[in-house]
Amino acid sequence: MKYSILLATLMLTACANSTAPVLPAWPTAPADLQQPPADLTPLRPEQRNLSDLIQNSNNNYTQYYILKERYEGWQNWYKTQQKIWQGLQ
Amino acid sequence: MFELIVNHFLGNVPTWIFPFMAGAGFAVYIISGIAQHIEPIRIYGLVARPISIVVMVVGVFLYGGAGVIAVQQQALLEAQHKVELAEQASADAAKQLADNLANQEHLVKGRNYGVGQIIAKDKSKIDRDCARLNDDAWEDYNRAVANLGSKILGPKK
Repeated sequence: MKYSILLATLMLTACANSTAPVLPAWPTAPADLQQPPADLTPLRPEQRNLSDLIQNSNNNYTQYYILKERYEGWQNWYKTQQKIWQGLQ
Repeated sequence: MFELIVNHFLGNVPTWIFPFMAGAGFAVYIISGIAQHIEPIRIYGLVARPISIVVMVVGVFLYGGAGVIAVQQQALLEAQHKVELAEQASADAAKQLADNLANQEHLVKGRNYGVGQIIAKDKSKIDRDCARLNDDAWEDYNRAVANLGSKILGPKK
């Protein structure tokens, strides 16, 4: 009787070691963040005035600020997803 | 394979059967012990006793296994719920970020337009002192834009 109880207890220990894998779907980043970066625009041959250069610089600086927003967006996205992922551990 | 069979068996049989098996095995074990002292049914007691032990052990084993399966199923449901919440939080955060990004890009383009308007307004004043850009200035600027370093950009205009 004692041995049978001990045997049953020992057999049950094997059941407690398996865990069910549950994985979340890979998070999708916003579409804007996945767009390829635009190139800076050079001056065209006919653009020879100082005002053309300043206007062109304005447009190129705008490209920089857009990319800066996207870069910060990626950092923000990563930190947020990391926080959510760590909450699952 | 053995684990798969046991899990399938445990998942498809009513759980009350296992404590019933263990209880019945124990009852038969006691009764067979008594029967061994009664001469006419002694042989039945001797045969039933080892069978009752096996039935009781199997019943206890499967009852314990069913308990573990139930705990695992509960843990699985909780984990799935947690994952669903995390996926929803992830999607919400991405949506909020996309909205914020679109708003910021709109603001940047708006400021670009504003500055462009100011430059257009001041065009005659700006160009008054510098009617035409020096060729080298034009080329050096484009070299900087293209990040070409000291490479040759092309024939000078």
